[in-house]
Amino acid sequence: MRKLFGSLQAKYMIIILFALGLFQVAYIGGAIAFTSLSNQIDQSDTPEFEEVENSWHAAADRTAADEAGVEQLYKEWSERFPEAGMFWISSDGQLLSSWNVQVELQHQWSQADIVAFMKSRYGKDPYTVVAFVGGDEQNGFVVIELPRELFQSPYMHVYDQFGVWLLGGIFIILVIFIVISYLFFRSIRKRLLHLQHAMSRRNDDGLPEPIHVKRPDEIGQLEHAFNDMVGQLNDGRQRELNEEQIRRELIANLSHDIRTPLTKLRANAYTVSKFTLPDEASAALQTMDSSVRHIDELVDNLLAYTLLSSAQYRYEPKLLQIDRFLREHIAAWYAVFEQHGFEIDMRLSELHSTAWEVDPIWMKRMFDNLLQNVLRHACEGKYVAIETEACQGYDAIRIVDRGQGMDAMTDNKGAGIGLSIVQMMVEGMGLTWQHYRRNDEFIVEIRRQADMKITMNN
Amino acid sequence: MTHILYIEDDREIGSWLSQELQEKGYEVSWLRSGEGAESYAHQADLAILDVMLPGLDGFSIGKRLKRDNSSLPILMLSARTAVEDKLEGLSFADDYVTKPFHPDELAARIEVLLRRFQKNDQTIELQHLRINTKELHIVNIHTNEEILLTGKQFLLFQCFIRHLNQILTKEQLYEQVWGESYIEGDKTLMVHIRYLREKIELNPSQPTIIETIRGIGYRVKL
Repeated sequence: MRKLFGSLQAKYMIIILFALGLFQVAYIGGAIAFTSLSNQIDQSDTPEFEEVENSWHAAADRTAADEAGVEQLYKEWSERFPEAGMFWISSDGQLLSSWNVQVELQHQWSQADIVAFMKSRYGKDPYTVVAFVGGDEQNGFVVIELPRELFQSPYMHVYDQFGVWLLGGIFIILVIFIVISYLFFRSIRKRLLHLQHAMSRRNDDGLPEPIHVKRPDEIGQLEHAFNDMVGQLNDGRQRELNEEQIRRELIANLSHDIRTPLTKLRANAYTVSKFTLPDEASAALQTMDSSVRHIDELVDNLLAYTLLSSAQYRYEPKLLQIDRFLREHIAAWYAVFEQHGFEIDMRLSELHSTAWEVDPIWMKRMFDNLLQNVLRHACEGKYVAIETEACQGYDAIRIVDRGQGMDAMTDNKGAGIGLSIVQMMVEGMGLTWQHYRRNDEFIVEIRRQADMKITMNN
Repeated sequence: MTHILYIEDDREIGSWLSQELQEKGYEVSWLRSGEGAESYAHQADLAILDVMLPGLDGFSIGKRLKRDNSSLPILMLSARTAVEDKLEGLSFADDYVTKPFHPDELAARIEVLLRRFQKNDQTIELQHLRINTKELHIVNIHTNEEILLTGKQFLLFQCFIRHLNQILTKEQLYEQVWGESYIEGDKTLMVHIRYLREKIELNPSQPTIIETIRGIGYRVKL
């Protein structure tokens, strides 16, 4: 039972029934009040047209055609109808006397005046009856004027007196119904909006938070269902985090297990290289050292690729001043290129925007891979340049070398994991890239749309 | 003698690197775990820590050492290369080198750290200059006269000496010397470098000590 009345549907039905009941009560109550009020008014007091007409005729017939007789008639009828106006016109059209007439009467009436008077009063207000005095035309006629409202029914009287209150009462009932309905829907709307807000709110893990369920109605059930969903999402997220942690640990341990023997290999090669060795042995040691370096890079790329392809590589975009980043990054690489006899050219021109919303670690990794590529595959060109340019609709960063390009086969060509990482990182940061030839130069161009929106403040 | 505390559990790597560092003139205390590291730390000028160690890991040991002695430079030397590991390491350590490393690169990084933390009282000769890297006492070898620098010139030269062989961008130099963000187009740094060159270069119009690396920054190369 409690559950039934706890539901919104039941509450809504109660409001509707209450409204209907209220209307019924109002109508019935109104009718009762009307009837009792109208009953209080004596219906016998209400004159009827025909009766008044006949009575007036009969009274006029009985009246003596002198001033005292007519005066007596006036008095009698004014007692019954205080609102009545009466006057007497002689057979030759002269106004002989009048009683309580509100308008000024003319003293001399022509036949035309009499006809006009009759026409003007026929069926109009006041109700007018004309009768000959003493039943003889020679005595002239007496006229009685009565306001038509005297002939109204008691209901009409009650309506005139209390109609406004009745309408006011109905209006108040309507307003009460509207207010109750409004409050009811407002409370529903408020709770729905609260639910919507709770659904769109996210915690640090990017998941919605459970909400406090206040009532056991339909919205409360929806909130319960939402909380269940949040619980499942949290469980899923926790599982995902655990798996991610296990995967990270595995990768870190794997990386450690591969790199430790590589370190020993390199240590031994270094120790041996300090002795005077024949040329062939020195060359073999150098090859061993570069192989160690190569395996190290390969392992690093492989692990990064695994993490990236499973969306486990941490991505934390920040506003990066790209010109500054490029200068600092090339500064770090400068000595390596210099050691390999490269000419290094830095041509940074103004961009549409130097603030790029990217992950600095991703950018560093991406440029490391591209510059590593230049070092490995374009060494014979002995030239590397970094250019920036504001082009039509986009900003471009170019890495220029004088090598054979990416499609060329070189001794060090691998499976292309390094470039696959670049590809995934470029896409992940909302950038694009392409490579092409310009005369004898090979160019890798990274583009950022000029109208790309920045979502963060710092 | 510069004293290095080195914690590495792998016997082969530990023994080899200790020997290499000793050959480069450092006194090395090599431990195979973090146990007792604190007792060596107070006399060490620098600590090199592996991450995966028996007992407490290198991160925990490093944090503890840094907390006890913030002026002790710490270099993490690890086979763990994940970004998360590097970020965790660099949250307290001053450098993070991954294995397999080249001993020369490690030695260069050790030198940079020692200079940065003013741990080595070393005198270097830079062309016609003899420089005490700790007190930044500069003497012209040709005339045997001391070169005196103004406040900003001193800070600027100190910055170069602490980052020998490294290219420093305008922004990095300005921020380290003036402690404010560099505003593009500001000529203050260039003016001070010109004054510094006038004091230390033999021919300031063709500088050889403070190199201009076009489009990137400046460098003092040993």
